[in-house]
Amino acid sequence: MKTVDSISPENVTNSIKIKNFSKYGRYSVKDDLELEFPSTKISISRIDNEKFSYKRTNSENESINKIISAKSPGFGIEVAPVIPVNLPKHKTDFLFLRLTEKLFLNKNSSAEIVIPLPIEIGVFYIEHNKAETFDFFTCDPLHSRYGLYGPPEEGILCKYAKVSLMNANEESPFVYAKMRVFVHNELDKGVSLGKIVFPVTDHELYYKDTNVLVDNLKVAIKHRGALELVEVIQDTIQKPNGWTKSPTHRHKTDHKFSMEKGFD
Amino acid sequence: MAFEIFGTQDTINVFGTQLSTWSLIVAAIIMTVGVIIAKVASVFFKRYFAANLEVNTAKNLQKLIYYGIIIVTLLTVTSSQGIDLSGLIVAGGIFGIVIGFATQSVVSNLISGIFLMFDRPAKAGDLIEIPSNNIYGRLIDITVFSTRIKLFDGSIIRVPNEKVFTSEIRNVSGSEVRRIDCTVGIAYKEDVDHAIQVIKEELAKLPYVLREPEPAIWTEQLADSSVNLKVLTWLPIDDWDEVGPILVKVVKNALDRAGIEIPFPQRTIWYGNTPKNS
Repeated sequence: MKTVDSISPENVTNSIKIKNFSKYGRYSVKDDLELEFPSTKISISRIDNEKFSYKRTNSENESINKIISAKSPGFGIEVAPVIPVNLPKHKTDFLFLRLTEKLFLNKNSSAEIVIPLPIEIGVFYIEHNKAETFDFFTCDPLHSRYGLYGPPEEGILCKYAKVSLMNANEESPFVYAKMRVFVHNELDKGVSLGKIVFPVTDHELYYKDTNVLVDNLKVAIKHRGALELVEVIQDTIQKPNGWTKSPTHRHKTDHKFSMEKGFD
Repeated sequence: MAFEIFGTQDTINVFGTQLSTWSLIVAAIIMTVGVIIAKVASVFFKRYFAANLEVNTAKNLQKLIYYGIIIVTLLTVTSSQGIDLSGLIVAGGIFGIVIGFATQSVVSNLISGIFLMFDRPAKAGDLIEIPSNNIYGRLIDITVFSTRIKLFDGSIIRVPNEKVFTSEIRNVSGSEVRRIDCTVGIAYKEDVDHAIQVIKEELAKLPYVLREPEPAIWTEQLADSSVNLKVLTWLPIDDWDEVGPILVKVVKNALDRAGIEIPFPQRTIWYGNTPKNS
């Protein structure tokens, strides 16, 4: 099992080849703007006094075009990491993380792991300091997949990603956010944890330049009656100084979710 | 007879009660106002409260409000005008039996409709199939007498509740996912495992094909001219359109690109007047 150092903003380094990719943040658009992210390019150009053209070319060379109507001489956009529930369509608030290597926990033991949380990137239209949802894209289309937690007749549809444990130095800021997970096995026997399912809309994302932080996750493996289940709850982190909270556009559940349909 | 229009000069006999023309007009006005109030209350509920409720619950509550107000109005009319409904019960008898026979199917549909509302085999918006009637479409509503289903060609079919209640109903929207499948044949000379791998890799590129449960592919049959592979994939319940129409094409294209032959029966035709050695 991998253990990790604490993740403070100072520790977050970009070991990925970030090259000259654009940064997360707010941009003021007066005439033209070009942004570049891994496999994705965004260009905004003025058409006339009140209209702008928005073009995004994605990793599969598909082009998405929109016209932005802006009354003022210019407008603002915010490019920020968002929770991965929007692509290809918003169908669920749940995320299913399948661990490529199962995590074994001895009886009554705890572990602290870091797993990559797939992220999407949102483009928000800013007016009067309010962010309106405008566009979403992903730098890794393989994350736009679905999976079912539970049997077909009563399972929960979730966004799905296969992930492996990370170490503190690994970074992939446009594709993943590092999520710290505290796992506690309350059972009096050893168990293997192979998947984590939770309502991801409860999680907040924070960004600074190209770095992304996400709320932690608490996972408790326990008994409820004769049933062995996993209780999953979001663990809020303090917003670090100088970091910005990503705009939230989804309803939060704010409750404990119990994985009652297996966890191996 | 319940209504004797020419009972006296200026009164009418309704269920044994003599009512003046003016009373009847008042009763009609109360009834009309009641119906209007029922309609307004129903629309008001739909506009301001139904959005926060589950679709089926909202529709049932809307009906309850509408018919509830109508019934209360009817009772108000009868009591305010002094109409004694016990006369109706007395007048029942043979007349009731005759009416009963005449409205048998209506009553049957009504009772079936009430049972369907409690039984709830499907809710508004669900994709349902009634195999015995060869009906497949999206359930719009279960009303008091009939069930309305929107077919895929855009037309709406009205099925009497009695038929729906006594038929087998297949609810395709019963869970969050559904499975679709297809069969593809490959030549006997081909490596089956390789073909399965090729198909799996191609299915992984389709965003609406579920990763868990993952697509299942197995050898279904050693047929006359091909080894038939069964391909089964799961997808979100409302996204059949994203995968269903292209599944066979995707599988065929993948096999073509991998150089895996899809055989088909061939027939040599000899014309009667053609010499064999030609």
